[in-house]
Amino acid sequence: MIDAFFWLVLPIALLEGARIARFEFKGGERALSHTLAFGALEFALLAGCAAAASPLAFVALAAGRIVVGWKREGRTFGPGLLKSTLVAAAMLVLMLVGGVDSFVDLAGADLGAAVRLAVVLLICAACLVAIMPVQVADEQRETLVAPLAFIAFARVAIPLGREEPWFALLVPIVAATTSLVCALWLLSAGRRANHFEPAALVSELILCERGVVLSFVLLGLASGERLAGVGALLEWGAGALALLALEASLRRRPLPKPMAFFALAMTVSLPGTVGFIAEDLLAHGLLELRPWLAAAFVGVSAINAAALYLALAHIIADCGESTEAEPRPSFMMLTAAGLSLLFGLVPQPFVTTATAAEGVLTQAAHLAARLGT
Amino acid sequence: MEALVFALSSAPLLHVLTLLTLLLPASGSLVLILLHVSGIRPPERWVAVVSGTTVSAAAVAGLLLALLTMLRPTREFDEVLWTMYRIDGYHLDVSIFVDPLSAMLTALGAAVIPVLCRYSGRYLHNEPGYLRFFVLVGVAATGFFWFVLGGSVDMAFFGWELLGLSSALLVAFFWERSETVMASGRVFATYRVADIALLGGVVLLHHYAGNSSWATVLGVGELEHKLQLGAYPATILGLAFLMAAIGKSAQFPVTGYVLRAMEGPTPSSALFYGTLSIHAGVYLLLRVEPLVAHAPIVRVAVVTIGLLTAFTASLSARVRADAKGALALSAAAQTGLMLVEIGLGWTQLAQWHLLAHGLLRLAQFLRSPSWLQDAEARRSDLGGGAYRAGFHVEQLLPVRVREVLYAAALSRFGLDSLIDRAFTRPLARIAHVVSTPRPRLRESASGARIAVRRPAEPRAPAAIAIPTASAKEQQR
Repeated sequence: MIDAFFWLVLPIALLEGARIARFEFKGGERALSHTLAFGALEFALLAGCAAAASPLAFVALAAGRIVVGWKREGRTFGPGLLKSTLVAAAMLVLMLVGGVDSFVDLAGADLGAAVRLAVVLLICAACLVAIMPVQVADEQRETLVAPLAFIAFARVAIPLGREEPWFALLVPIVAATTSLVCALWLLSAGRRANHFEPAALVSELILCERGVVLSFVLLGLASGERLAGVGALLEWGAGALALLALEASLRRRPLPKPMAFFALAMTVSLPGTVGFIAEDLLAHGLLELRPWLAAAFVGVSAINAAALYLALAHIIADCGESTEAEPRPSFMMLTAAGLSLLFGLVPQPFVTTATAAEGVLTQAAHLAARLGT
Repeated sequence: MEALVFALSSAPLLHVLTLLTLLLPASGSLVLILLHVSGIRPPERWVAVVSGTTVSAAAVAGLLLALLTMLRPTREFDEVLWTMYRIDGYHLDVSIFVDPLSAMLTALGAAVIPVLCRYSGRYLHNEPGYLRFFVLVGVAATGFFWFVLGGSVDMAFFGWELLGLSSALLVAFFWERSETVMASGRVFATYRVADIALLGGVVLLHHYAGNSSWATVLGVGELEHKLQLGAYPATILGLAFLMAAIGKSAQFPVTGYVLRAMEGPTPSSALFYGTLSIHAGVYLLLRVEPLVAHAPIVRVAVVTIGLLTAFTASLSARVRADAKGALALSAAAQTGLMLVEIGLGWTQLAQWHLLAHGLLRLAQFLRSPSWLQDAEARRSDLGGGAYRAGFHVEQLLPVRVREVLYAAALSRFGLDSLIDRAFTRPLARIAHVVSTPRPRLRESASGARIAVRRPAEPRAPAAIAIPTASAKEQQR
């Protein structure tokens, strides 16, 4: 299915691949060709998942991704395996019990209520596992923005969930709660910064911030409102760029403080960056639908920004006065910052793609609802 | 002559001037950033020249824009420059709106920013963050011009955020000191609450009016449009904008953050807490005054907040021992009075008050490093003798009452601790409780448990001798 949603996911897959390659390369234990190969494999597998039309192909690609991850790291990553298992289970239920061979047929498939509920719950559970921060020690094994779970959510859970009356209410509430929990965890980490090694604080910051970003994506996608849906898809891309920029800047020593602050600006959706467009659309969309949800969204945004700044301030204070000259920003950092500014100042192409992608997802949902009734 | 005025105030020329005003400061910062990123370390002189030239050129363009707009018959210039994005019926336009109010503020910014650049070029000589300072001044100038010239609340929000972020980063200018970084965190958190309030206002304005353009929703002479909003939406919107103004203009009860903001270098304190940023909230309320006029509750709230700020901040300024702190609190007190004027409907007075106050504070802040020297010089010019503090209104009060007030003012009426007790600590406690299922946080990145590096022991507060009014009088 080479549709608008695929084109939207492609840059995210590219960023995930780039992150893997960077992580492997910085580890210094592999040749450049191997790191590039692992990055390319991650990109290809995720792109394949985004393009996959059949649940079987999706399961095969997800299994392939686990094998590649195992080969790369020498062990399986527990939370990753759990997410993939939940998504694979949902796909298998869809295929074996529901008799759906292609996502295109989801709209016309005669699924029983129990099957539909089971599939949606499994995928939502995978998304929740993806959102909640893992152990600090596992931070670098975690994905950037959980592409697999959210592709499954967009392709399957949204069309099926539209027929469930609880879906558009309960899932956003859960997403808002998880975003608040992640923001509070970040705040707590920032306030108890003297309990951490600086590297552990960086990991905690990235993990919690990732949780907040993904919660916002889930919130917008599940809300069923057009602007919020487009905003959520933009937030997915913007969040990936911001997290990559945070990671690329905060792990360097001596700390490139200007770039760390710019990464912070990207994360808190400073106007001029693409995050601002996403936040603007999400807030507008949620307000049209449920004002209290919009209020929760902006409230969590405020807590998150303050907590992020606090944690960053501690990281900078921990670094102390360095006699070394500040390093030049890395290529990854500059690329992420440049893309965020470019899409933030000239957002129309990105917004058009996200609107089309949202249209693809909701058309399937509308068709499913019509045929279901 | 009329033909000349017509030609000069034509839309294409104003369009070009607008673009120059809005984009030149950012272009200067961009050049400096690119030099830094490419590893080139330009000498201080060149940094100051690049920044000064672009900012001054923008200031001249801004002044011309303000002047030529005032020559137009309508004394307004409202134009959509381009549409950033469009989804179905929803769109975000980059637009500008110049009227006498924004022209006045543009003139203030145009007068202040180049002076400040010139001053900073020498003041920050040999500072490691020299280039960073000028980059951030460019960002602040960009933010300010976008804020005052933006044709909609969306555009104003764009400038508002840039102004806030550059301000917080300049507070953290000496970022090798942890106290400075923490102080900037407090400033940023306060600004963020104000940002969220303004964002709420933007979203609500779109919701209620379907448009956020100043000219069509709130603009001068558009009374029918304004009235369509109704009293309830006007009240909700007015309160959102008031909350934003409280945060940005350091009003009651968050006035205390300006003292933390004094950790930054003097030029940045002058720029943000003497002139531009502290007046941003006042400008916002002046801009939405048509809304305030239709919301009696908001009017009362504006006057009350203004009076409380004027009272608490002016007394707190009186007992400050440092020049910059006293100036910052005095500036907050004056902006409180401006709020009172707005609440009472005296908008013209508030505008002129803002202009005069901005210029005066700039001069005072920039002279503050040599305050003692100036005071001594002034005293010797007046023939020497004992220093006279002058007359203050509270001297009319009984000594006992004055002592109580001064003692309360020393702790800024307990407002900072009240905010901590009411919001910061409960939130931190909730965060702590929520994060208890996450015990592995105390592990290092490698997974091994590590010892607490710096035990978080509360520091004993330093003993402070509280000067009472009678003690001061005895000293005299």
